[in-house]
Amino acid sequence: MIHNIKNKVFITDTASLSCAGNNCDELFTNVCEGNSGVKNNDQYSYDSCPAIGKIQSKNSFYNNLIIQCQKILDNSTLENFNNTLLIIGSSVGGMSLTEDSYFKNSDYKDIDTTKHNINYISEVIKKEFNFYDDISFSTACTSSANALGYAYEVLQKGIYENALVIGVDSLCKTTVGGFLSLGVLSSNPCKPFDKNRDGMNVSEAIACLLLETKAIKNSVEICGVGYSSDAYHMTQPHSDGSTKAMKNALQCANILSNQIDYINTHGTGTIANDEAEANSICNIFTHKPYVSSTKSITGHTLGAAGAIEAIISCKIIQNQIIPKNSFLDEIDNKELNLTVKTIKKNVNYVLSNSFAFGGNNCSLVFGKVI
Amino acid sequence: MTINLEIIDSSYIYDPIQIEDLKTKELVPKMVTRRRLTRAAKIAIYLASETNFEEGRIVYGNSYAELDSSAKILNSINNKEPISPTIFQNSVNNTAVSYLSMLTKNKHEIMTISSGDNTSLNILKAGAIKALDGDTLLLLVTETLNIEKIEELNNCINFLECGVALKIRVTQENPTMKYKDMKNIENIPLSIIHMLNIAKNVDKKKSNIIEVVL
Amino acid sequence: MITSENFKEVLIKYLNLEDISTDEIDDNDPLFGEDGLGLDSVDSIELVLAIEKEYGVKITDTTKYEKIFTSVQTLLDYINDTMKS
Repeated sequence: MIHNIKNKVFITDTASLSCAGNNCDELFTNVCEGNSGVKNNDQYSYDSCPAIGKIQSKNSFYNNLIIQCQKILDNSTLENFNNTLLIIGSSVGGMSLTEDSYFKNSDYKDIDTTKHNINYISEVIKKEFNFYDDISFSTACTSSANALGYAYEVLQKGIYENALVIGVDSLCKTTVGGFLSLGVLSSNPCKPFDKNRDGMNVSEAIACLLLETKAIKNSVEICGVGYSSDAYHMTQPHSDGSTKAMKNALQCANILSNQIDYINTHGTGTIANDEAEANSICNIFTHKPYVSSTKSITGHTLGAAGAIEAIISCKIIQNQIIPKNSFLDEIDNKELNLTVKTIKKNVNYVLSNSFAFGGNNCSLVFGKVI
Repeated sequence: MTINLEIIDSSYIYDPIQIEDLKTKELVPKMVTRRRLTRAAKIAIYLASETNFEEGRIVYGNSYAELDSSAKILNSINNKEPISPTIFQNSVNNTAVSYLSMLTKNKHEIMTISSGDNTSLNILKAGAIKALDGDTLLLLVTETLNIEKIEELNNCINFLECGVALKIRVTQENPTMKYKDMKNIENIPLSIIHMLNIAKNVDKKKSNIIEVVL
Repeated sequence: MITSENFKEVLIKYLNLEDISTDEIDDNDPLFGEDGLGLDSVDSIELVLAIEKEYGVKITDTTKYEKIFTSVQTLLDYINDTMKS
């Protein structure tokens, strides 16, 4: 009864659009140089001006979604997506459209219910491209990390030929207002792991990754995924949960903790997350790998975070460069080996963390293809 | 490719407006926990109990998420009032299973799928693929649409609250249930239909094996 | 002057406390933690919003948070003292 297939899985193509770059090269350059795309904006809150990450584009969000998918197709060896599983990771789905409709006349009847749910994202894409099948995951801030984990699992088991993972969340008043109500938004680009950190930045992004079971030039291997649940609180994290997810990822990838060269943290810049995550990392990784958060540059793209940070992790491996922690002035937990400068280093394995509301945790391991 | 799943246990529940007795007080004795539960969370906790599922991986899904929480947030924003942080934390798609995991101290992998009308079909597919690892999983789907003024948005769904749970494991044995023999219930959310049909056709006196096509 | 009775009704309403009556909440019960009412940090935010909405009292000095939020009595005293001045 044991399923015998165990393929290796590779990320062969990526595309992204965020406040930190119109493509993946721009994104990585800005991450390495510390050019934040996060700026103050009062459009998403009636009485505040938090720092958020808005995409600068003349196209609509949904047009940009199609454009990014087309970029993936153009750059890949695929002729079409007919044998591709489309996997979406999103926490807001079409909520910004619902808001636009409802706030016009405060009338529910103006809302187009077909454009509200998570699967609206896949509906938009399927109008332009034909896929073998599609599935959408929605677990708040781990949505696209979980989507990537699923892609890894189904390709490893030989269930599908290849998979297109898209992490996507657009800015909306619900999420900005919601995080404001929890008192966790900063008015500046966030300072993860800093002693004086004062919160996160809500952001938006479209991040696409093509996964296949054959490597091509510049591919990065996705070596493993680890999941766990805190079983503790809806919004307060527990370091036992993050520890379990990271350990499970290492076990899945069949590597030891001291083989991880760099950790791309969830690192949102909130008091709670960064403390819990730092504790977990210090407990497991006693060899002190390099650690950074890239959310000061991209903001916290919520459902898209796992995917955009997977792209950054791929760039790190492809370029053998570890980015600095931008806006880090005074380190809180001195046991963490937080990078203060962008450096060239031999990088074989990267661990990327995502943690979400409800205590949902997902860690991914990426590896250099030798 | 196909994977055969044995339905070890199953449960389903639905009501046109509001499901009456979800045994919430009995299943969640601590008031400070109970008071935060959304309707979907109460249904999830009830169904997990009915299928005798205590610990393990869960594949959950819904199409309309926590509509009541989302609606209240929209109204707060519209009225320029502060958003309740409790309601915001209860607005994510994985709210129901998060409360279930907290209650049962279930620290395993818990996925949440939201694929519109194909939600329960995708839960079956994802669950089947994960079941290849050899463990017993809980597949769970809920919809809770009983919000104020829902009639302004809804003209096709007659059951505003519903949920299905299937406790499954993979099997090499041949299927005993056929999808073509299953009759649809009219005007129930399509997002639960694949799992509901299976649950309704379970014969507790026999082995119940369904084929999942990927 | 806000009475203990009225304040406990506000607590029950805004924190969605179920199956509990005002006379089951002791004035000196700790608000947070297992030994008292069992509230958490999200409740403290809800309480700040509730107190502003019901009594017009803003709690902005976070350094005094712990002292103010110790028990029903300490919170009520703070509200009444602030309303007097």
